[in-house]
Amino acid sequence: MAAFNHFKNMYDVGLKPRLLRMLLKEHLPDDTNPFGNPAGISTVVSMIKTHGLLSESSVEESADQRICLLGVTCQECSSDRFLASYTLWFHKLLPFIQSPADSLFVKVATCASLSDMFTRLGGFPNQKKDGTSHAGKVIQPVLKLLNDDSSEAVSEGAVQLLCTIITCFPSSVHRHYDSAEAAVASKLLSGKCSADMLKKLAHCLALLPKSRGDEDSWSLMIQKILFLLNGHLNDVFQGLEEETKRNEATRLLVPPGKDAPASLGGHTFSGEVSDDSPRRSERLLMSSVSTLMLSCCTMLTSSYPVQVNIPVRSLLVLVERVLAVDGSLPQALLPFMTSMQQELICAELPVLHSCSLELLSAIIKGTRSQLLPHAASIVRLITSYLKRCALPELRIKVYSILRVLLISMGVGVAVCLAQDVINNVYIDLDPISSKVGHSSSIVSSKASSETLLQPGRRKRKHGTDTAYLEEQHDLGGLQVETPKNHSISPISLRVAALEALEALFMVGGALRSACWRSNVDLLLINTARNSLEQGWATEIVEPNESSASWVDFQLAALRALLASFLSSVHVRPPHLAQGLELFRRGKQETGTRLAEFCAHALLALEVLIHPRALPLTDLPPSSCNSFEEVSRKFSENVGSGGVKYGEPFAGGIQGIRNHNPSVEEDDLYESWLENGKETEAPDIIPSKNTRYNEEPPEALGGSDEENRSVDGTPGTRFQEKRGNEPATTSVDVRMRDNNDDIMVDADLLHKSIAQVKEPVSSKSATVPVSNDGSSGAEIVSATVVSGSGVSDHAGNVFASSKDVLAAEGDRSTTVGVHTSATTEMSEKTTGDAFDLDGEDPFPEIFDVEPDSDEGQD
Amino acid sequence: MAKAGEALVVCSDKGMAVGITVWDIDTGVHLLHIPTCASPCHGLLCLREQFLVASQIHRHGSVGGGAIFMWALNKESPSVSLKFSVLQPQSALRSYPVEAIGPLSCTKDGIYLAGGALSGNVYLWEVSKLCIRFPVKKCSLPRRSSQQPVSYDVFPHMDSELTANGRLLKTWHAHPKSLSCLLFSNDGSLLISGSVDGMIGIWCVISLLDMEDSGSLPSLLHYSTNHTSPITGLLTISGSSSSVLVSSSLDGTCKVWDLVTGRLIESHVYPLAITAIVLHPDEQILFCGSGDGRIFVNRIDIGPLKDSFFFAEDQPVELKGQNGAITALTFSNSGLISASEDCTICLWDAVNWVIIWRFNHQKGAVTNMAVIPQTALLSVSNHQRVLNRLHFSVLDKYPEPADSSGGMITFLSLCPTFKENRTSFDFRSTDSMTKHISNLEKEGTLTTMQMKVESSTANRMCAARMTKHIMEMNRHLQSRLLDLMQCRLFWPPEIDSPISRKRRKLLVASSLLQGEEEPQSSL
Repeated sequence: MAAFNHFKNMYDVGLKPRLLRMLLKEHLPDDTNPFGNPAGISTVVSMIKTHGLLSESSVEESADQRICLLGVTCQECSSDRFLASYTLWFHKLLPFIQSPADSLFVKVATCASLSDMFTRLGGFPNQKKDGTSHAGKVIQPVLKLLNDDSSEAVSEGAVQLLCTIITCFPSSVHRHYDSAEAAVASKLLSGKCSADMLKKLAHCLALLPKSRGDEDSWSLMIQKILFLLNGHLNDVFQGLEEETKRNEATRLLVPPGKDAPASLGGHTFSGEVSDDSPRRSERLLMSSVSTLMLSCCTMLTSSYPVQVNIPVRSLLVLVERVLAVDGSLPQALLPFMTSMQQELICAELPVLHSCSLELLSAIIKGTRSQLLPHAASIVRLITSYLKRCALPELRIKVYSILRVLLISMGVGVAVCLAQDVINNVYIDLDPISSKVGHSSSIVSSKASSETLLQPGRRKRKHGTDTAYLEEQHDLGGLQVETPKNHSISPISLRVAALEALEALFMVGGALRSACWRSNVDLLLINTARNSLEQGWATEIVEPNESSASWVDFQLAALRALLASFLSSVHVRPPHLAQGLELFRRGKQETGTRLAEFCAHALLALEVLIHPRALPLTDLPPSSCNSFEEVSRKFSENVGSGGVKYGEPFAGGIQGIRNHNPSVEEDDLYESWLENGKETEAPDIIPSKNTRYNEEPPEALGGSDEENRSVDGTPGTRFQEKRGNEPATTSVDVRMRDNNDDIMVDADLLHKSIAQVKEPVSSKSATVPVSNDGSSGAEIVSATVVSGSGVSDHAGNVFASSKDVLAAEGDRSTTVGVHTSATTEMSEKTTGDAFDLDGEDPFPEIFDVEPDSDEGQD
Repeated sequence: MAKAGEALVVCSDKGMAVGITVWDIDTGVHLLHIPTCASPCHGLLCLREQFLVASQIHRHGSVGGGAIFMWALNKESPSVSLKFSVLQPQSALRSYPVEAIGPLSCTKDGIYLAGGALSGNVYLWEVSKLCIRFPVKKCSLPRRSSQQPVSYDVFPHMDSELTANGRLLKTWHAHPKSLSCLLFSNDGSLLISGSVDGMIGIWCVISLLDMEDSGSLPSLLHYSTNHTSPITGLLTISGSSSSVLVSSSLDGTCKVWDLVTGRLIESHVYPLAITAIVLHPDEQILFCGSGDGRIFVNRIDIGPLKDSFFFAEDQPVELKGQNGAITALTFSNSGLISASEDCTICLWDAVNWVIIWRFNHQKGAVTNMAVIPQTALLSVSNHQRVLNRLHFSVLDKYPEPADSSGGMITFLSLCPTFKENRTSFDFRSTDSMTKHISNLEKEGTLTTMQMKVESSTANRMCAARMTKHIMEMNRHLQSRLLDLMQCRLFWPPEIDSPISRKRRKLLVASSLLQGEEEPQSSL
């Protein structure tokens, strides 16, 4: 490989290592050649001398490069070498950091290298003592570097080194604790640092108590910070808030009868800036406030060796205080404030709010479930703030806090937060929802917050259009019209809103029976649909920055949709069919995150669509009678699970539209199947289960009767609901007569759908249809749906269905009598009621794979 | 011992002398006996597998209020010899609330404890705090060693040290009659109370604990009087989005509720009073213990809501084996465990549903059972296994005055162990260094530019100094030259004394210049 790697001439540096290697190989004794030629050694020596092989590289290296390389060596070399030589290296490095003369870069490099060395050293537990003593020597020079008004790069390196030392050798900082605090604090408050540097300083300040590792240091530190923050806020918010609030905060921090904590770093800072221009001092105060808040966050979220007391109340009051200020002036204080002052503060307020939201989220994370006594006040704080907050970035933060709160505190907090989350989600997803519209329903709930943002007005304006659209959508499930997305809220905000909604569903699914349920369901399905419809195009075109975040939006919408489906416990999700369609389409976007998620979603939904009667794993079938009974009973109940599913809708409560009938069919089918099995072995079944035995023959044998009874119960209902459109049932009758017709019709339907819909779905639709060939009783009820769908679409009206309905009505009553004792059959039939709705001609309706099995039975 | 078996903890209400008995479930070996405990039903619980908490029955003759005893299970001892026979009954930590407490419940994280009194009052304590111990670096932190003795057998120390603990957060009158059951929902945000008059109340803990008490959030979410006899059992099903409550009563019904909406989902009717219920761990099967010793097995179905109450006419599968009313039911890995008034405890095989073990508790009918892992009983030395420990102290008798809100303090639970935290630091510094190196290469960043500027200013200074130098020398030379020329021109080479004197004078004059020149020439 290296055979042709020629070097330039005999003076090439590259020659040296190769010569050395050659000498080692050929002339030095080794395992294979233990007794080398003594004469060879002299050759080696002469070679080395002639070529200067062992001399250090003559390439010019600056000091800082060498130092950097030493740092890398500290990381990379073997443990033995490191332990053997780190003391030496340390003493080499130490002068660089001490001497004032060296260039900046040398200092920076030294700090970095030392930091590396200590990090590595910290990994050897037996080197604690040495490490601590070495680290102790570094502290003072480091603090000097910090105190010197030198370049920021040097201070940064110094802070970094200090952090490393605090982390790895905390006890070495012990002696210099106060001076370290003073150095960091004065740097932090000097107002001369960049934002990045301030972050590092805040982190370092928060780490500092770790060097002592006791409860008092931590408490004192956070008290000092809070006290300083309080003072700063007093200055900043002068004239913007009422005196009482200010006094309360101070009283919390310094309880009456106690002394105020010593100021941070032992300095008095307020005087330093007083002579500056107001603009500068304001900005300085603001930046210190945000940095100090960051320190608090770090203290709350990073680990600490002992338990500490968190002054939660003070922290919350602080957050509350900042969030309460929105730049408006209380009437009484108007004359005391110039507009310039107000301007200055308002310019900086978003930053302050953002920081205090961070702090709030850190409080929640730090205290976990122990926050419960304060949860109510946090809920109040958040909800009231969310009403006022209009900046996207801040709203995103609030949403994330909401999410954390919901997930950590569960259903109890969901009860308190649900309405506010919903209201705000509506506001933020508004541009989309306004297209489809449910203007009447949410106006009342968001009336209060609507004044804040304009979209509400637009929504009302589109009221008529949207009503029409909704109708369209209900009929065909086709949301063709997608007007230009005048997105007011940025995508990231919408993502955050959707995530909060998802969290709400996760913990408070049972809440969905509240009044907002159907609206939210509609909102979600439309959001998801719109996100996807716009997304297909952009993804194909080119993956640029905006489309990447658009994908996030799509994912968030689909995730929320999935959560909404899975969390609806007591009511069948009304838009399940459309949702499934979306997931299936998403799955086809091969190779994208979207496809991955959609596949996962379909997997998760599978259990919802096709409930399974799995035997309990630790209850395998056995000869024991008692168990047999148990398992049989379970499977029974699962079989009749479909019954219960269907029932509430039979009552026509809600959610009648947009149902996926295939679900009920499968349940029905399964129950039949179960029952069929039981007839084969009736002797084992306990006597009380006989009601199940009676039914299967009817269900399987008399398919005609069965089908009529299927139609029977809902027939009357339909009459009521759609008195002007009796066509649907008559179509059923026609189709029931001839299976071939059904197939044709189904195909026709598919074609008609295909014309309206994207080609994507039509392709997938035709596949399952072919399975329907051997259909028995089931297919009829399945195609009933398609028939009605066709009729709806084509507008064919078949008259004279009354007699049919009457007959069916009769039958349904008989069936009802027959099964009223067990409530089995009638419920089963009502399960099929939905097939008749047929407002949803999505192809998956035909995806009734068990049908073919049915035929074999 | 490496195989983590389970232990069964039982207690009775027959008398203080009966105490708590702990058996090995698999072998039936008697592991431990803790004297002086007599708890009413639902009065014993195991807090995070580290503590046993038991409310004590109220004797009519006795004076004063109630009592709640707590025992630390894993006594911390330096000895590593762990034989169960060595386990000594440990001293109880005794709290004396104002009233006699019957049922107890705690949140999953073991932080809050609720106790229901005979008067219908409910007490809510913040009972413990989470402490995560750090197995590494014990010696390096000075104060930590002083924290070490805060172990569980030395309770008096804890009292003095952890005063903020055991706070009575709230007490309120929940029911007109005495409470028979209490239960926290799985996320700890709801509290369900059952009373002897059959009433069930669902409370929102967040609003209960609302300090400001603005009344904006109602604390009682729902209540129901559907049951007509005392509530004997409450269970929640742990689905996160579906919050479902199962209640059982002496009126012979088990009802399934939606916890959030308070709606009745399902009602199971049995011919007998139901005295205890338990859910199969996979939460599909409900076991109902009845008044005559039978255990009915039924399936819980929380499917979509029915518009009318669906009275499941249960043809329950029955497990027969106990001769007295079932008093408690629980589940272990081995299967169902039932306790009965006939003073026996049966362990049922989870596959064949036959009794595979029968414990005799001669001292009285068992009122409470708990299953704990045997490892919880082990003395712990410094095992990493027990990172999450609870500190625990006596429960307050009275709530704190509301005024002292300044003292509202919670405890920081420390998330990562020290070791984990350390690794996150490892490469930060190297990153920073490589960043600097790359900065150097790119010469683009502020820092490098700063350095460049610095070095070039230094160079410039140096150059300026040199230039000044040279100019000085130049001037000097020029003046010398001028002098010389002057000499040559005006004083022809005559060697006489006045000239030489003048020359000397010139030299003197030029020495003024030379004073500067000399150090320069040395350069």
